[in-house]
Amino acid sequence: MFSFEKCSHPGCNTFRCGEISTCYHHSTADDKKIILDTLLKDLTTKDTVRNFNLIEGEIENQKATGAIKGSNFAFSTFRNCNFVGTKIINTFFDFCLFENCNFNDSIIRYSVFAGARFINSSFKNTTCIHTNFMGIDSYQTDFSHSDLYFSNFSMSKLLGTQFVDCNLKRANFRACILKDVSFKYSNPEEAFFKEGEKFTI
Amino acid sequence: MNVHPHLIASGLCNTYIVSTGDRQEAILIDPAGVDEEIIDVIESHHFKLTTILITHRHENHTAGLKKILKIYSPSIYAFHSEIQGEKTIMVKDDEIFTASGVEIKAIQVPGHSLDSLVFKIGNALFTGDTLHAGCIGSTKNNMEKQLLVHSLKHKIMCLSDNYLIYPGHGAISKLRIERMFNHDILESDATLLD
Repeated sequence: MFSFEKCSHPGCNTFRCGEISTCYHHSTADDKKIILDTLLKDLTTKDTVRNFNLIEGEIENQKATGAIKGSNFAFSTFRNCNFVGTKIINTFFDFCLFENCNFNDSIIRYSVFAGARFINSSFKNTTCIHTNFMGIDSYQTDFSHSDLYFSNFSMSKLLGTQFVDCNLKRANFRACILKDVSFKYSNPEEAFFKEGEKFTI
Repeated sequence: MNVHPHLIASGLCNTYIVSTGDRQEAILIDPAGVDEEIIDVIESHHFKLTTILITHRHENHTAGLKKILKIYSPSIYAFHSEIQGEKTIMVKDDEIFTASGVEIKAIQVPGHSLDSLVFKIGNALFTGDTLHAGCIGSTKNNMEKQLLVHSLKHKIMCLSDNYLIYPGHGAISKLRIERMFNHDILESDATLLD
């Protein structure tokens, strides 16, 4: 699991980046470079990126291989990143921006994308179960042919988003704004949509 | 500290294995069931399972307790003195205790059940059936719902934004996310404004 130690900058409640005493935002330019270089090297060469903590980072044109576990990338920006075939477990991408990112064929479990914004991104053919997509803004993003069992999209704004041939059992779409969204060949009857519909666990 | 989430298919419950520090000791939260995968997590990491935490005594969260006790000999911490016929170490609201080498705080959050506990370990909250991603736990009537919302607001939602939420069912979350998108909490705030 990523470190829960707080940034040493006065008044900052953000978690620090690994060995460095501050969070990414309050790190020196040199430290920022070291942190990013380490992550990019790990993402592209290691089997598993584990316990990494990078809040408010910016990552572009990278291809991840292997697995990402127990990490935190909240408030980061990912542009033209390729996560095809990766395994993402217990990892936090809350309030991130994903632009032209590709998660196709990946396995995502117990992870968090809540509050994120997806633009022209793709989750085709993913196993994306127990994943938190609450309050996302999704534009032209494709979740087709995916298993979205028990994933939560409540209070999201989904525009031009495709859910063709998906498993939506116990998926939660309560209080969503849906425009040009397709659920063709999926099982929306097993998901939760209506405001008043009792969602009991 | 590492958290290994695991879905027990029979009751659709989340069980968590929390490993702590260098001692390779592990805590199991809510033994909803025992399957190959959960044993594999413990054995492949060479964990020594020394603690079980019970968030509440409902059968679907405790069904695997007897089975796990046939294999390991952990101490069991719960609100009640016995769970599934097994003796426990009772914990009260606001009690801080050390188990498996880590400090754990028990926070009683009644509403879903009177014995519901949230366990705080480091910056992670294991919320059982009190708080889930996007909603609160189920309640039998409106009075219990009000009690649960009140308990959550006064004991959990007042913590800092960066706490991680590991619920008994469904997706994981963070407290910041629940403040912004939890339908039931927002609904109760709106009712108060009315």
